[in-house]
Amino acid sequence: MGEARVTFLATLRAGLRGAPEPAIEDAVLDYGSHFDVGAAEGRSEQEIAAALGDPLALADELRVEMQIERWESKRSPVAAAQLVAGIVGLGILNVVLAIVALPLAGLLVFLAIASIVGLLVGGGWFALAGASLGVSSELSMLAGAGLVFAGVATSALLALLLLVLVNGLARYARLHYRLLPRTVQTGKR
Amino acid sequence: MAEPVDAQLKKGVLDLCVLALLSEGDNYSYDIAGRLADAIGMGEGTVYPLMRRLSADGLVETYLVESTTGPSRKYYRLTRAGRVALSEQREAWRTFTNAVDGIIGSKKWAKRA
Repeated sequence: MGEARVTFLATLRAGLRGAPEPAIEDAVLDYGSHFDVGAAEGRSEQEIAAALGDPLALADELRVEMQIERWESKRSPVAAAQLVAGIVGLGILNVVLAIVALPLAGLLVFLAIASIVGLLVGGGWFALAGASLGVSSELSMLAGAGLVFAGVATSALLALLLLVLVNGLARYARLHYRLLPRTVQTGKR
Repeated sequence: MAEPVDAQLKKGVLDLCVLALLSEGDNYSYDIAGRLADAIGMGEGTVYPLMRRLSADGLVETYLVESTTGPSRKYYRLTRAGRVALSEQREAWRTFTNAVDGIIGSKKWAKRA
């Protein structure tokens, strides 16, 4: 194996670090066999590597694709967070979206979580200890339960909102799929 | 960072091009990459994330074919869903390009002049 191929595959692997191991192997095998076929057709490794494009950019693209797959098969908060981070890493987000909307969304989520926790804890406390404030115990039970339910409803709404938001981001990322150009020097940015 | 207009146009039809290529017969990614790179002028590597996405969406599926001259090659074929997607996208593309041709096409203007 020549240097161009080794460098390309090593850079790709480094760029995919953190992705699931089988998916990394899969990608390395794919590009490895691309070099094999190309060599069999008489192209030089430098030529093949240059025609493939920047391995780091390809790794970013593959990683987001893997994250979208993961998010679609398993709708967990971790998968959502990784997907959002990956899409931000692609650098395809509009500057306004990246520096205004994302922090704003983060702040909203934080506030919503804080208010949910507040409602749940406060409601629970009021239900149990409301009587000591001089409110009748039936009333404090009712009011406390009301607060707790408001907390549950808010969190359901928040989960739904996040689901829609992350799905929208994934769709956006796929629409902005990049055509990666050929490179002259591979593995260098 | 604005992309050139032609890049934006091209990436919109990448899926359609790959599906159309595969409708002519099963193929392996090296060949698909080469044909797209020649026709569209993109980096050949772009085809791999694209194939991954098409197979995640269930539009294509893979199988391995032993080769006498080297390692086995991963072939892609259209699934039923892939065929449906192809005919929908081809239809959408034709409708769209006809409409755009109707607006920018020079024939009408040439006749009037």
